Amino acid sequence: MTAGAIVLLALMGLLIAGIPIAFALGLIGYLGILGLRNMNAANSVLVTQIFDLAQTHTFTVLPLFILMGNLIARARISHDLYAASNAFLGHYRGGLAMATIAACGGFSAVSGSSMATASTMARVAMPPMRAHGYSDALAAGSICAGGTLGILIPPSVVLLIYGILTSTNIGQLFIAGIIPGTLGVLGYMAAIAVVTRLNPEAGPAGPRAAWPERLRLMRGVWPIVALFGLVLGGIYLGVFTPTEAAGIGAAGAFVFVLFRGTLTLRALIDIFAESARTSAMMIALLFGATLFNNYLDMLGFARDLASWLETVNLTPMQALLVMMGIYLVLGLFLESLSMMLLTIPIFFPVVQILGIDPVWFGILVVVAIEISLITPPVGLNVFILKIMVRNITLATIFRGIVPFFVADLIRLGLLLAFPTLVLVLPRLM
Amino acid sequence: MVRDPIPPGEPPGGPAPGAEDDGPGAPSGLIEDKPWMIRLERAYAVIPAAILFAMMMLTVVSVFLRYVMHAPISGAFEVMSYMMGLLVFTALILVAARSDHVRISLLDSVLPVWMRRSRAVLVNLMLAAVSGGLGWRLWRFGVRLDDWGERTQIYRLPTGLLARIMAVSMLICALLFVLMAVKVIVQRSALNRIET
Repeated sequence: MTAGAIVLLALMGLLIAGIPIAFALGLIGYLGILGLRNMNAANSVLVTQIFDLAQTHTFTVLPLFILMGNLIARARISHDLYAASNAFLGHYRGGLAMATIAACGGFSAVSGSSMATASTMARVAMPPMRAHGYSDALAAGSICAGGTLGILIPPSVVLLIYGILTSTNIGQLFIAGIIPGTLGVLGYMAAIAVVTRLNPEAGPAGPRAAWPERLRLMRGVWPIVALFGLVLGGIYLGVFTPTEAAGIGAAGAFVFVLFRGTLTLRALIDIFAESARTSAMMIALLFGATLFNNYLDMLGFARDLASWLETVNLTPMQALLVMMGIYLVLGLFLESLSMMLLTIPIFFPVVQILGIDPVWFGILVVVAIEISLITPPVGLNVFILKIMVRNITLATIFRGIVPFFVADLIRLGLLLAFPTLVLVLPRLM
Repeated sequence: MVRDPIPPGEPPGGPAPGAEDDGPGAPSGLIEDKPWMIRLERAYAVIPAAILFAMMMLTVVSVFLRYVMHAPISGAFEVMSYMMGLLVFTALILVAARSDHVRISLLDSVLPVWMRRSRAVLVNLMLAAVSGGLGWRLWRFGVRLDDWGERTQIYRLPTGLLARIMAVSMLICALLFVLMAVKVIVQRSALNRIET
């Protein structure tokens, strides 16, 4: 246990010093194994692990889903998504904010990053909400919160990485995210309804869009909706493996951008290269995390941690609450993927020993991670929004986030109390 | 007809910056805002881009053959895995060139510039040492695989070659990290392209 604590401190030190996470994890893993065994053992673990990992077939899902997201995101769909959502929701009180939630959810689903969503949608959604007399707090809150929905919608890179790190069935994880994701949308809509009921000034209703107008606006986005339906449906029905779904999704998105005609050949090559680059960066993190994992295994860290948990007499539920609390704190300075990579090697063995369902735990973790990105008094999404939007104070953004944050805590509580909400769909597969 | 409250087209001041434009071509890491550097990166980027395109096509074709022609390709997974190895390591060169590895930027705004510069030099030299060491071990591993005549099961793809391609890519990354360290020493503005 002491050795484990020292290792974690050393890791923290390297990370704070600004060493890339992949290298810090890998270096500690390598040096640790060197210390416990010898040079030959450490070298052979290093080389064989990295050589095998790079060729792991499960990983192929990663670049293909990232490609699908990048293709769609670069087709400039953010305005179309927002216009279409608004045509359907704009005439309700708080309707523009609801449309923002829907468009942010859609955009974060394709971009795979709630921070990219906050920075893009701030430009798209903030000006019209201001123009319609929405309060800055509600407008900013809905942008920050909406971006967190994408983590549960395939292609969710964070969920993929969780599946890869823990050898949990990726198709099941995706399907398990459907109900929690829907709950998230409903919770946010309810939060907006409550805010605008208490203070109708915060989000006045807009004009109602006629059906021909709605249909015209849907034309730009329906292929995307259909593509997501195909990917998720294919996985659910067992028609495709997740890798195949990712390949088909990417190819579908490719055809979509070709027909839209907005991209040159050079831009297409850029998108493919950028997707490869992002994937390589993530796989590098996985290299580091795996070496680090190996070392923790050799140390018997999980066993020690579990026996320590026994001495302090934590029930599985209490242990889960502690872990969720840790995520909310980590959102202070880490983005979602790094949070996942740094914590899962430590938490997951404990989860297994305590007999917690890995699919359920995975969903809880991604929900907690995204909540941490909007948690007052910190949260990275909030700072991004502050940079992107002029004359808005952090206090205003946080005030706007509170209702969504409360909705999220209720959702997390529901998922903790009723595992069935997460597990019912994957068990039907 | 109800007027669409969202102004059509781009907002004033050109396209919104952010996730939709943060593409290649923007200066970062070693890549400066100079035409020859951007061209060089683009020319190299064709390699990982082509591998990814091939992976996408192979997946589609294998699903098509299985469901429509009822003739699954045996060993598509083997080729995919091999290409995955190539993709990751050819693309890691791009990651290194752009100083794109994920790190925690907690101290970036707190430390004085001279400390941040010395730190950037030390960190990059360390990354060069790690990448170089890994490249060297991977090369030796590749040579050994070749000596044993290791090949993949179905298509007999040489695994030693793959290990040596990975090794070369790691050695190039090491070189790029050294260049980055030198750059930080000789050019003040280089720091801004690493600390993002």
